[in-house]
Amino acid sequence: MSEEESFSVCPTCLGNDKHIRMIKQDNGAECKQCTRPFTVYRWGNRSASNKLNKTLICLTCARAKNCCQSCMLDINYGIPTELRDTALKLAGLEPLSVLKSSTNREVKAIMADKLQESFSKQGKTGEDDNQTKARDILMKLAQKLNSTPKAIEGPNTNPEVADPANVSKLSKKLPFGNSLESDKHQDITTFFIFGFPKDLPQYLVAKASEEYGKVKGIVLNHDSRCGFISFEKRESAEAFAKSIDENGLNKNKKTAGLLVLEGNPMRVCWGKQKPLAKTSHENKQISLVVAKVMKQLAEKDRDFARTKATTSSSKSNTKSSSHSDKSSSKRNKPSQVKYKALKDDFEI
Amino acid sequence: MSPTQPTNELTKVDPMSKPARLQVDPATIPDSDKPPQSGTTFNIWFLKWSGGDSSTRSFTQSKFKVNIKRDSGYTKAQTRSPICLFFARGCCYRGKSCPYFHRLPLPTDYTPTTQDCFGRDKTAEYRDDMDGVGSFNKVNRTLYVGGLYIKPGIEEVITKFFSEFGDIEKIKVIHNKSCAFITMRYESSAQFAKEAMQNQSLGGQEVLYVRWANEDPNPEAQRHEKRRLEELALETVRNLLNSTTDQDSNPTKRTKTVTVEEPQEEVVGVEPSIKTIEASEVPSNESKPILSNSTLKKVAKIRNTLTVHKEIKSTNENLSTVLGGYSSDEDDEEEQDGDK
Repeated sequence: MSEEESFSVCPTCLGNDKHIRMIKQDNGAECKQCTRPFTVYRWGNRSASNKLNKTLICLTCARAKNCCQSCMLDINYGIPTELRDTALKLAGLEPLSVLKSSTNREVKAIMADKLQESFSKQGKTGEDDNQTKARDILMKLAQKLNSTPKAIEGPNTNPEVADPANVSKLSKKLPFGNSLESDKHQDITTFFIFGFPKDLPQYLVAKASEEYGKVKGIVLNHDSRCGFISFEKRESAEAFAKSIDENGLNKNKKTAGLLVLEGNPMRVCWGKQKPLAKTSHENKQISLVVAKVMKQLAEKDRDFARTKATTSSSKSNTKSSSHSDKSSSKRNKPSQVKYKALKDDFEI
Repeated sequence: MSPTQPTNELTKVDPMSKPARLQVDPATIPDSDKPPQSGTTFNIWFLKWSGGDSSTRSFTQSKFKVNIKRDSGYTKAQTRSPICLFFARGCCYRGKSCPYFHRLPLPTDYTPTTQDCFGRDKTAEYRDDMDGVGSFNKVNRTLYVGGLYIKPGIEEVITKFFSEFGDIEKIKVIHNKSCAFITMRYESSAQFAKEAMQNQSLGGQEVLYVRWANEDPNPEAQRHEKRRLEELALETVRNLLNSTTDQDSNPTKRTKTVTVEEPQEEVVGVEPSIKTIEASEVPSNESKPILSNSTLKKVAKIRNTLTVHKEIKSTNENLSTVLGGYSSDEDDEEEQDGDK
């Protein structure tokens, strides 16, 4: 059997059986990647399903992506090739995938032909070679990832200041100045929520609020970083307000309360539901306003803490630090998550 | 992607303890059940009209809709069976005798990278109209929903309808284009929601068309996506490093015999030529650890210092300052620059 007619399948796909019976079909199907016909292998893997496993892409494409022909995960590590290449890039290594994509079928086939030629010129790389290569890469990856903490790049947007004349009427209607005091805001069941990171998942908010009663609706506008939560009943809304009020993060009761959901910080206050931004221009304006308000509120909080703290500012520091320790220990990978969220808030 | 784990949640959740509901009775459907004519010829394979002028083509609302609470239940599905596509569309006529699952996809479900949660093979590229199963080269959790009737509170309506099929991460409504982009938490939820909401309405007369979304061209969104991917990659590599060390502690040497059968179609009655090859392709686990112990220790040490460093950073800040403070964090930024 020549090298070209062989196959490259990961052990997970082959299954645990010691003896595997395979059916080989020459030119049995077109490769899903490069559309050329290739030799298809089919075999049963009883531990996975009763359907026959088969190879989906040709050997050339599999070698180009360094993946299994059947499951298309990386052949050495068993992880998605996209993630593998991202990790390699992070560590400053060459991505293993040499496959170029094209929308043209013809071009794809031609490129795959060229690849195949170059592979055959390179000659046969033994299995041992491949294994040691994979080990080497993993080792390098481990060292690089841990020696250079170039983990997460923050957004490098240049800070803009909202032009007060330019701020649309829409943002003036939004209840930034409200607080969480239930008796001051009678008869409403909606909360205004703002200042959350732009990648805050909506289900986090939904889960946090559904604990206190049935939620009528949640609207989050991620571009302008504000939104509304509305409850069906006043009691559940009050319970929600109380829970945020008493979570220990809110020192100044006159301003909107702080809420941290899995490392995503945000501010919550009572507020009647108002239409949010509809166009990208409005989004931008409101996001600038939100950024400004967040800054002001933080300053207010600091002033408040300073006037209130009788001893010194160091006390509030230790207090907050002990608090964040406590909250961080609750979560899985606290420093990383929080770091991400906070970094997002720094540089807007 | 996700490892298979037996979930005890299934037994806890009520819907799965009852048999799956029969969604349609095949007897009630007339044989000549065609959608309203929108083309010149009727394609019996796709049950669609084709040909003619595309401008006159109209979308017809689907007659069936899945109701997860009412319809889901146990079927004859095995552990690794896919979800029933007709269940998702609301028209499975087999009920409890269906060989596929009648329930929502779970994040713990095992789905091969090359298939969607309904067991359909993915393709390398998207279809031109972005419909269909999707691509195996990219994990896409975002759906494009067109044909919306824009009214106040449309986001809430979308949330209500789509959250039935899984956790929603983000909804972005483009008001002047009357369409929306919905990002689900898991890819499988997006796949299910796509099939379930195809040709449905949001309580009105509109007919939605749900497609896969293209990549967001907004540079900021792309940065976010890149960062998310990088974090995911880091996480995966960490897990990989941990698992390789676990594996190396109890090395097992395996060899496999692979028998390849070549069916010979022309000649009948001839034994298929059976070749037995030692599978050189099967990587056998070797006893040599991938990383020497000293490296691992080093790695662990560095990792510890890293996390400590980060924690200190976050604790140094008064939390409220950090949350809203934009001006006072210059020192912090400098610190990060120093890190780079």
